[in-house]
Amino acid sequence: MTQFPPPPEFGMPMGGYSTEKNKLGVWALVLGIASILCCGIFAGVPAIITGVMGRNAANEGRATNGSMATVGMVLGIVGVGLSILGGILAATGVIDYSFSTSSN
Amino acid sequence: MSVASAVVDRRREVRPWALPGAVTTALVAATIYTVVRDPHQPGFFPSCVFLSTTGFYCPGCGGLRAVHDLLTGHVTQALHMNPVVVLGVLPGGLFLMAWWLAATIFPRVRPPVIPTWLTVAFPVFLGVFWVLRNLPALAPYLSPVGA
Repeated sequence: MTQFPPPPEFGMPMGGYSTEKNKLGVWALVLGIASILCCGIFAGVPAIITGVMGRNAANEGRATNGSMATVGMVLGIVGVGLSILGGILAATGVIDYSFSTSSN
Repeated sequence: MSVASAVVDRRREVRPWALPGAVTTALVAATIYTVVRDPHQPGFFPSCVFLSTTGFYCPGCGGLRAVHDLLTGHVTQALHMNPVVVLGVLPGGLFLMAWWLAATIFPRVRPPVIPTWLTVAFPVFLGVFWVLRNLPALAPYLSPVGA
């Protein structure tokens, strides 16, 4: 009797590994860069979330770009950290954070 | 796979345009706002938190002004505001968006793929740019200082 391989899981393409969840890593990287360039915490938090999800997916074999997700997560953490630092300094009056001049 | 992600995946099959459409609309709206409201003038955009905190430029400082200058025909001034945004982030971002939209429209186009070396190289490059544009000798060329 011929041995058949187990049927692939739902949503998983035929083949040795799956790139089904690779878009999580791409999102993490794009959002992480955005958090450094302009958007701080607003892009950084989604970058961390998608980065962690992308790393988990890579560990479970549903993505092949775990390093991309890791880079996005780290960039998001840096962006969020700088935002929180700026927020604390603004709240304590150390810096004058105003909308009067655009510097972005 | 959780129930929630299964629901999202099913929605993507039914409405593949939802996410790319929303992102494109948001980016176009933000770009139009950046063109009609001059970021060189105070009052329309928040200032950079990093610049306010430390007095140093972040890698994105001057980016909005660069977009405004570029789309109003002042290319040289745009390069002066932020060369990395003009030469790197905008072309790369537009290329990625176009690839994503093409993959949404044409099933035979594969979704965007970013090479692994680039995911490390570009953030490192941004970090180097971050330092260089704050050096007094290079600031006139790499940062919007004096503008």
